This record gives sequence, structure tokens and C-alpha cells, in this order.
Amino acid sequence: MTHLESSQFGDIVFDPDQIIEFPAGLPAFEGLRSFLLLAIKGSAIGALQSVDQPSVCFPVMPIASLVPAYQMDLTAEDRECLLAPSEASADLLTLAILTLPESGLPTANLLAPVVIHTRTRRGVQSVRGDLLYSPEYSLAGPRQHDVERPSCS
Amino acid sequence: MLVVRRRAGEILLIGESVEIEILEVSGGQVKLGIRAPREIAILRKEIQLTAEQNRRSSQGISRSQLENLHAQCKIPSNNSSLADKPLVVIWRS
Repeated sequence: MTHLESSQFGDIVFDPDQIIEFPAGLPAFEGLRSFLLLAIKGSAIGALQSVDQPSVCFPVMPIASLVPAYQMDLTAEDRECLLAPSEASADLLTLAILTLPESGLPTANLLAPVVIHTRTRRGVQSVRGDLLYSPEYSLAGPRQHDVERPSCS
Repeated sequence: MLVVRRRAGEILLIGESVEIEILEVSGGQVKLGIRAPREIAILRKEIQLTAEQNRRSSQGISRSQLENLHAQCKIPSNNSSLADKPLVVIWRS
């Protein structure tokens, strides 16, 4: 087991096999390639914690619990990053990164879901080109362009 | 917004140093060729929006914020719990 001293979560104990590799990093954090997915039992909300830079950590939530009908749109490059030949793989975990403002309600980035392949242990932030979903989807309710009501209110 | 109609093979100029050529129009897509000086950043808009959003999100979440959010949101318990997914590190305080 390995330890990581995270700025937000304190001491994290993990198995190196739990590290998820993001070959392209994430936009604005292209240099950070190794992440852990942290979760609390019984909660849909978790965190994507950088292993390389312990102060960087993104709150995440499965996209299906926000917008059940969300349609993924992986590009060929995304699939290459994930080492996943098909989009419908049951091994794919699709998460939205949350932003928690100083005041007001959190928002979820539905424009660029984080997709993790649980068997290849690869991840990618798949940035949609169609602008069909909002990068600031309010957890309070749907905004323009968003069809489904989220389960949060 | 200035709207200009152009055909494949035609070119637009922006300022003195940027040239945009319409290379191909087919199947609802336009292929553009851009000539610009190296110091001008050319970015797909959605990447820029995501980069901004990521910078704002990257400060993470404190345990109390996480608990508040969890209380605020009704999480369907069936298949959405992250803790049951493979690879996940269960976080103990």
C-alpha cells in the first residue's frame, strides 16, 4: 500500500493498482497524469485526486445520477486514450466534474465528462464539440439545453 | 456578430496576420485551414470553457462541503454509489 498526503483529504492509503492514468491530462492540467478516484460509502459524490500534485482535486459525481438520459459522444482519440474499442463498454465510468462556488449552488460540467475505463485503468476528459450540454449545469435544476431534471433539488 | 458567406476554397483575413481558408464543406461539417503567427493561440472553444471550469473546480472539496452536498442532494442509492465501483479508493476520515 502507498500513502498520499492530500491537501483536502489528509492521508490517503491506496494500492498502486488503483491509480488511473490520464494520458492527455485534463484541460488546464495537461501535466497531471495520475489520479485516484476517492469515494465515501453510500455517497454518489467523490473526488478525482491528483497523485502528482496533492493540492489538485476535483469533486465528481456519476453523470447518470444527474442526467439519466445523458448521451456520451466519445471521439476516436478518447477511445484511444482509454484503450477502449467501443463506447458501450460496461467497464466505462462516466463522471461530471463539480464546481463549488463560494456561495450558491454547485454546478456540474456536462460539456466535458470524465470517462474512466475500470479495466485498462485509463481516463480521459472527453470534451464535446457540440455544446449540447452546459459546462455549468446547476445542481438545483436544468438550464437551457438540458433536457432532464437532475435528482438533486 | 459579422456574418460572412463563403464557399470551399475561399479565404478570410482577420487583421494583417491571420488567414482562414475554407478547405471543405460536407456532411454538416466545415474543414478550416488557419494560418496565424505562432504567438496567437488557436483553441476549440469547448476546450477553453473546460479549462476554465477545471481551474475553478481544482481546489476540490472539503469534508464538510462534501457532507453538505450529500445532504443537499438526494442520491439514488441503486447504482450510483461511487464506493461500489472498481478502482475506487474508499476515503476514511
